[in-house]
Amino acid sequence: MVSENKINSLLYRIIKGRLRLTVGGLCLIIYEPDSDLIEESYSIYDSTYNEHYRNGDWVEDQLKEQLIDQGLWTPLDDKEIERITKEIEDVKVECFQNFFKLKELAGLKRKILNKNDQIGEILSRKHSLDHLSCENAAELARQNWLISKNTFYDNGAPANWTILNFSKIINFYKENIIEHSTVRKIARSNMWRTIWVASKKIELFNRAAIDLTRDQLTLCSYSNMYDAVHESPESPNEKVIEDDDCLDGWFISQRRKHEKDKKMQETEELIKNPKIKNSKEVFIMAKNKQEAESINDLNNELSKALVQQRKQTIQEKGTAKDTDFIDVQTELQMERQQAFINKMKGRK
Amino acid sequence: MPNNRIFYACQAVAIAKTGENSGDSFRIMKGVQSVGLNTNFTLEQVFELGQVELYSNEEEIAEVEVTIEKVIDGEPLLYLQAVGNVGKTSIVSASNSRADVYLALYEDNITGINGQAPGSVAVCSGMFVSSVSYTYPVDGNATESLTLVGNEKFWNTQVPQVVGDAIARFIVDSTEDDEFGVANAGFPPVSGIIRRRGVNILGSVIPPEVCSQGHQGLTTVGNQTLPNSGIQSITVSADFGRENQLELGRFGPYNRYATFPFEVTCEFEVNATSGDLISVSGFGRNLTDRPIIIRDLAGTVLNLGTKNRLSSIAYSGGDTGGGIATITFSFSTFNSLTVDGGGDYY
Repeated sequence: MVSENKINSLLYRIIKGRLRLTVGGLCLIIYEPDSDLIEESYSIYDSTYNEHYRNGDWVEDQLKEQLIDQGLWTPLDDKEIERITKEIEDVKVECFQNFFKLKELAGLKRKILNKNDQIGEILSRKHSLDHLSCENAAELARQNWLISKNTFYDNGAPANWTILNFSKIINFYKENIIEHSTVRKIARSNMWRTIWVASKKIELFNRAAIDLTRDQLTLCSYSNMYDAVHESPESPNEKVIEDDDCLDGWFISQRRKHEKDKKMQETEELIKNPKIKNSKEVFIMAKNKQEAESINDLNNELSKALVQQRKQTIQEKGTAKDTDFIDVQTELQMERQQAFINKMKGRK
Repeated sequence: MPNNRIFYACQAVAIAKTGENSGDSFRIMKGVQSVGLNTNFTLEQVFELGQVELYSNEEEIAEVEVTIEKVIDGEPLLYLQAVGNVGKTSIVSASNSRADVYLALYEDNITGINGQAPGSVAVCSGMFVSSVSYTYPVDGNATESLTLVGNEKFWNTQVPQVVGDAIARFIVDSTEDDEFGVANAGFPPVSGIIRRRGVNILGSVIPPEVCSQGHQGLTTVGNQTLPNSGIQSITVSADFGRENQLELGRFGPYNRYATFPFEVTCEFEVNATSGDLISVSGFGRNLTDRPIIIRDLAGTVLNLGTKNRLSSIAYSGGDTGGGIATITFSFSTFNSLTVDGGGDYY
C-alpha cells in the first residue's frame, strides 16, 4: 500500500522530471532526457550495435535459434503466453463482476498473480540470452549514456564519473522506476486530479508534448483513461475504478461487448435475406475453426447456454425432437400460461 | 427479430429427395451462404364448465420453415435439388415434390471434418417448396433463395436407417486446404460466382417496357460487345403459398398443396432517363403479354413463359441530394416458371 505522502512525492518527481539521489552529504539529480538528447542517443545505439555485430555477437533472430536449441524457449511458449493472457482477462472480468464479494475477489486476485508469475517465468526464459545480443548491448549503452549525460550535482554541475560509481547510480535509477500500478494510483490521487483538471486551461509540466518524460506521458495517458471512464454512460462504481484489476475487467468486458455488437452489426449486414435474418435459428456457413468460433460468439450468453443444453440433449437421446429441448419446453409452458391468462382476461 | 436468436456455425447443408440418400438424390449443396430455421408450435386451450383451470392444452401441428440462400455459381441450384428435374419443365408438377434438408454441425474442438462424423444434424423431413427467388443485383453476388415448409424436424447423432446413411455422407474426404473440408470450399465454383457482369442480358428476353429508358443498343469495348441495359437489378420470385390438407385419423397433414393459382413475379429496376413512358388509357386495354427469360453465364435459365403482364411501375429516387432516379417495372404471371442450370438432378 503506497501512502498518500509517497504518492505526492512521486507525483512531484514526475512533474519535475527528475530523480533525487542523496548519499551522505552528496546529492545527485538524474533528469529525464529531452527530445534532443533522446535523438542523439540513437547514434550511440547504432555505433554500439555495429561494434558488437562486427565482434560476432548474435542478433535477436539468431538468439531465437539458440533458445530453441538449448530448450529454453519455443514458439509454443508465445502461444502459451497468449493463452494465459486470455485467462487473465477472463479472471479480471470475473473480478469486475464479483467486486462486492470480497472473499471471491481476493481469490481471483491471487489467481491473477499466479498467472502473471507463469508469464514472468516464460518471459524470463525467453529473455535469458538477451545479454548476448547486439540489440540488448546497444540499448543498454544508449540508456547508460542518457543517464550519464543527465546526472548533475545539486549545484547544477555535471556529475564527475571519474569519481562516481556509475553502476550503483544505474542500479538506483532502475530500482526507482515507477511501476504502472503506482502511476495509476497517482493518476487517481486528489492532488493530481486537481492539477489535471486545471491543466485543461493552462499548459501542463511547462514543456512541449515532445519533451514530456516517459512517466509524464504515462501519467497523462492514465489520466485520459480515467476521464473516459468517468465520462462513460456506463461508468462503473467509484470503488471499481480504484481497483486496477476490477477496472481492467470493466474495460475488457466493455471491449468484448463492443466487439460483439460490431460483429452482430456485421452479421446483420451480411445476412441480407430478411427471412433468414428474422429466423429463430440462423445457420451461417463456417469455413474454418476461427470462423466457426466467431459465428458461435455471435450468440449471447443465454443462446450459448441453450446451444450447450441442446447438444447435451441430442447426445443423451441420440435423436431429439424440438420438444425434447428444455428451452422449447419452457417456451411452450410460457405460451400455455399466456394463453390461459388471455382467455381469463377475455372472460371479464 | 427474435430476442434470442441462436447462431450455429454450420459446416454443410444437404438437400435430398425425401427418404433417399444416394446418387444425385442426396447432395451437399455448394455456395450456400446462410440458413434460417423457424419452428412454431401452436397450442389450443380447451376449458370446461365447472372449473377455472385448463381442461386440456391441445397441440396443433408444428410448422417448420427453412430458408436457404446460396450464390449462383454454376453449381446445382437449391430449387432444382429440392424438386428434381421436373422443375426444369413444370412448376405445377414441381410443386408436389418433397425434400429433406440436412444441416450438419461439427464440434467446436475439431479442426477439420475430414473423416469426422457431424456432432449433430438438424434434419427437416418431407419439406415442400414454399417460395423461391432469384436476385441479380448490380452490387454483390447473384443469389438464389429457397424457402421450404414442413412439419417434421429432428436432431440426430445416431445412425438409424436412411437418416444415418445420409449423415454418413457428410464425412467428407477432403484434401483441400480448407479446414472443415466444406463441400464448396477449396473448390472454385464451376462458372465463377455470378455478379453483374455474369448476367446474360443479350441472351435474355426482356420486356420492351424495361428497355424504354434509352439504354438500347450495344457498346463495343475492346473486343467485347456489351449491351446498354441500364438495369440495376432483376428479381424473379414465386410464392407457392402452401396450405395443409388434413384428414381424420392422422395428426399431421397428408399433403400441403400449393394454392393455385400462385403468382410468379419479375421486377426490373432500371436507371431512369425519362419518365416511365407508359401510356394508360381509360378506353381500352393498355397491356400486352410479354415473354420473359433471364439467362446468366452460369447456365441458369429462368423462363417465366409468355404471359407476363406489367403489374406496376414505381418511380423513385431523383431527390435533391443528387440521387439517381430509378424505375421499377413489376411483371407478373401465374403458375409459370421453369428453372434450368447447375447440371443434372434426380
